[in-house]
Amino acid sequence: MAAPAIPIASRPGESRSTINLRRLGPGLGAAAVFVVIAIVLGKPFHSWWDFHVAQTVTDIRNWIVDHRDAHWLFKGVFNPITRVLDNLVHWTENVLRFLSWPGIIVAIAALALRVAGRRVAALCAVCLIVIGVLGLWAEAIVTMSQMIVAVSIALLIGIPIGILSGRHPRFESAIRGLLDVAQVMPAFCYLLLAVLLFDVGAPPLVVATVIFALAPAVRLTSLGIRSVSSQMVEVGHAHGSTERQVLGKVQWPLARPAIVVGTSQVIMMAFGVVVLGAGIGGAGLAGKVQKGLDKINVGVALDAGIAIVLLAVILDRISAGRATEARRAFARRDTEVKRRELLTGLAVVGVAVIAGRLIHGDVFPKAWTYSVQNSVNDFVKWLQRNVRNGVPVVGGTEAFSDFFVRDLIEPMRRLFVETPWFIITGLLGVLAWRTAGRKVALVTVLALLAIGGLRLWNDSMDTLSQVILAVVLAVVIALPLGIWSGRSDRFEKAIRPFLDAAQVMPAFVYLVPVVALFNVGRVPGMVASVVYAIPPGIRLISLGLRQVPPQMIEVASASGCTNRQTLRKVQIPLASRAIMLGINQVILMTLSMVVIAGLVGSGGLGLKAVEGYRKANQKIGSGFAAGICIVLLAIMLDRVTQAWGQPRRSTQSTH
Amino acid sequence: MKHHRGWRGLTALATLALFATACGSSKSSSESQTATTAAESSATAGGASTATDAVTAVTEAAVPVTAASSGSGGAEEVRLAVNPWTGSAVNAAVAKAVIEKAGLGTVSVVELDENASWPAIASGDKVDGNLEVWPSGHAADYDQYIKANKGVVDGGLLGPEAKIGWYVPQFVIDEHPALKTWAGFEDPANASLFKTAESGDKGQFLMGDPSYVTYDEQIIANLKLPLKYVVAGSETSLITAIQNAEADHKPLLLQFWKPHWLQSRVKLAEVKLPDFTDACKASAAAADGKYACDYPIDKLYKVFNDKLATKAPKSFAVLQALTLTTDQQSEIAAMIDGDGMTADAAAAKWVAANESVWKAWVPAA
Repeated sequence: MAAPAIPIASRPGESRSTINLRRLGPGLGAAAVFVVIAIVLGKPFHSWWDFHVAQTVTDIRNWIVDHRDAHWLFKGVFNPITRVLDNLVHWTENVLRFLSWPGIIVAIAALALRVAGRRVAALCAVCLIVIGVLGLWAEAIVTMSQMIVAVSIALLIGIPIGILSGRHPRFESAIRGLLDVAQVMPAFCYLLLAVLLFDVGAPPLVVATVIFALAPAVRLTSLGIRSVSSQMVEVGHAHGSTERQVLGKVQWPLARPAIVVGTSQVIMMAFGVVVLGAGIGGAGLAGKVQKGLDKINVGVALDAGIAIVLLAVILDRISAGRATEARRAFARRDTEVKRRELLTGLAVVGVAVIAGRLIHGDVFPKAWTYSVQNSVNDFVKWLQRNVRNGVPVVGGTEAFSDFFVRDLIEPMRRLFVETPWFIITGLLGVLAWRTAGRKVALVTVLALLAIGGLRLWNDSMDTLSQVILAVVLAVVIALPLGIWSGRSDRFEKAIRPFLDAAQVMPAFVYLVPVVALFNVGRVPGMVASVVYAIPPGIRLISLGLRQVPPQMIEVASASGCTNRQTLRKVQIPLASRAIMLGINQVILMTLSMVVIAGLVGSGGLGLKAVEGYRKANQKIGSGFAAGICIVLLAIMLDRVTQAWGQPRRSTQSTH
Repeated sequence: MKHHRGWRGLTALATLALFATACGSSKSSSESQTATTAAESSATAGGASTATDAVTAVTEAAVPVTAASSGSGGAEEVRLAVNPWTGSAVNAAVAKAVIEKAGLGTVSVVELDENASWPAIASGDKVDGNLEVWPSGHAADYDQYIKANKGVVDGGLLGPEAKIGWYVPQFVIDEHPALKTWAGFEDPANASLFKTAESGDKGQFLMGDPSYVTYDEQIIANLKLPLKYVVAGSETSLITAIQNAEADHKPLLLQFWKPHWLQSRVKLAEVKLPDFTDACKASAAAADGKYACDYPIDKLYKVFNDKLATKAPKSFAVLQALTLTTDQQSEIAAMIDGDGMTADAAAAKWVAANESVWKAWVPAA
């Protein structure tokens, strides 16, 4: 049944395992327990196997509606938080407006020059000017303010938690599940709850963004703290440092690179949710994307999408401070020179700001704007007319789509939905046990039982069948491209901008083209997921190949291997861990697109989640439950594929 | 050394922030808002080729009034929700034009999804009202927020009547006249014209955004039509599907409604369903699954925060009195969707030409 998963799973060692009673013992025991569970829960799940999640969430929503105006929880807690968030965003916005566009461009370029070097500075200036030329300066300021506040809060909360969890493994394992939920739960599922608690406008958007973007800040800080070798810490203690000094002078500085990576991840994640602001009064670039969607004006949506990508690029490049030479060069200079440079920088920025104020540069001059909207829209029309069908021989994207639905997706869905739950759960459990160990098998079975208890089994299986096919499709594309880019610097350089754009460009922007090409249904959602999921796949596969020691390749070619043999017998096996990690990321990214797929006709959990947001007065509960199901599927698939990426030891230790 | 740098940056930022707030953030913000509006109206001027001068003149004339009234101290401020469709933007823009022209105060708009509007209006902190609610989708909200007095009051009818129904592109009816009514779909041969990969061996019935009210599944089941109900997931993908059907000259059956901007671009014909009867009304209310007739007419209505009447009495009176006919709303909507004007410019133009209509809404001073 889970046919597409098996080829990746089967290991040469497994097939040789002979029947051994001692090894079968726990398996038989587990099977017996499972049979009892299956009989108790019935087929389909008995109606008492219901966690009442949907009802509870709906009740909470109704309670909030009824008590919003008077209860102390709102007067004393949520309303003040809302006001603080509102003010922070407004202040930031006012500051950015006051600085005016020349001021901002010069200030950001100066900052980039200082932390990341000349090239990044030039890049940032160009990005900002392009945003202005697109005629989106005012919107970009609004979005930028929201993101600055959200990212700052995420870091202010995430880094201390990360330090705590890096120093206390128990705390870490306690919050791991929560972080998983925060990262994978689609924001659509709790956005309307956020509106009920924090009103509309920037506050609920900031809250949703912080929740979503918190996990990488915590994870990477914790990773950074933990990766500081214990000897370093001991040396610190031996020199009589206090705990605080060890943290401040040893662990923190050494963990900084990881924290910088975390920051850049937080920014990327934050820009991933910014589009959701449109429906809840977030305005800014999100509002523009929404406007484009409402009128099926891809050009308008694309302009705003490009601006979002550029903002993300600016924040990412500056926070990552790529060109470390610029930094080191700066650190080497003596303090007097540094002070002078700082003053010069401030003076230049000051002049730019004054100049900006003099020309009333709150928004970019209208006369300098330029738009490619019409050509973009014409291009989409052309796609709609010529690529969907009428392509000689192959027919076109519509034929592809129809074939996919009729011959792959639908049979797969029926298999998953019509097979009794206990057979699916049992088979997936056995598969997980054999390939990933006892613990993972337990997680798998519990996750599937919980999905039953959330009363969304059929929707979940529908979604799972689509996710599996999308992942297979993404891997089929990512594997060769990843291998190619791992072996060719030129190719890697050439595709990098496309990968960046595919990752940050809000999927909302390409909803219309995918539907125009593949018709409403399950295929457009799959295509959107594939577009979104292949970049990390390609990157990790390429990274894996690049990490294979060059000596190994030399040895191989010295012993007469052809180029292909070297790839097949040396590079790919040695890179298998990274490749599995890439596949793992592809799966998680695909799951995060389930909701987007719901917007173009995928049905299943995606549609349930969309309903939870769009029809909140009735469906908020089931939307939330669907979100949890997506999280459970993600945890299950993540644990299994992570185990596949681990060295064999982990599977054997379970016997 | 290294980690001091972050602090220095922070300090610099904080200083800048202080500087900015101290040196007149209020001034700069009000200035910038004016600048934005000015920029937007000039955008209109660039986009619309017709009546450009008149429009700019009108918008420009509106600005001093605003400034004067906000200076006088007694000015009222109203914030209206605009939902993502043209009609909603038209109403708010008309209200804005009238209230600001009459010198009663200022009106700003907040772009929101329908469902986010209700809690926002109930709290009243950022949104004071919504001028266009489609009753069919919000019966539950009506009970929870209005009947239970949770901060929202019924503001009366807006005027336009909307209608949800089953639609096919006009060419389908031209080629297959039997499909003018639902009975034509009983014939499997006709229904199979609408087959897609997603609908399998039945014809496809396409529904758009899941937030819209729908009895389609019940209608299909109760009239025993060989159709499969497929949800497109969003209005965006529904409209794209219509455009695909147009481009391919391929039959498509869908739930759609009037008024909608697309109706003027694409020729859609409504399929006649059995008449709406009291029995249908009863089965809709009871949710018994026996619904088998046409959709009722949606009489669009207004909702306000319960404190608006005391907070901004004069503007509230205007908003209460404000009604538009379907034709008036469509006329302004056509300026936006057809001529590419902004909502504000279109409303200003309409207000300038229809003084007698809106003068009646403004209470005598």
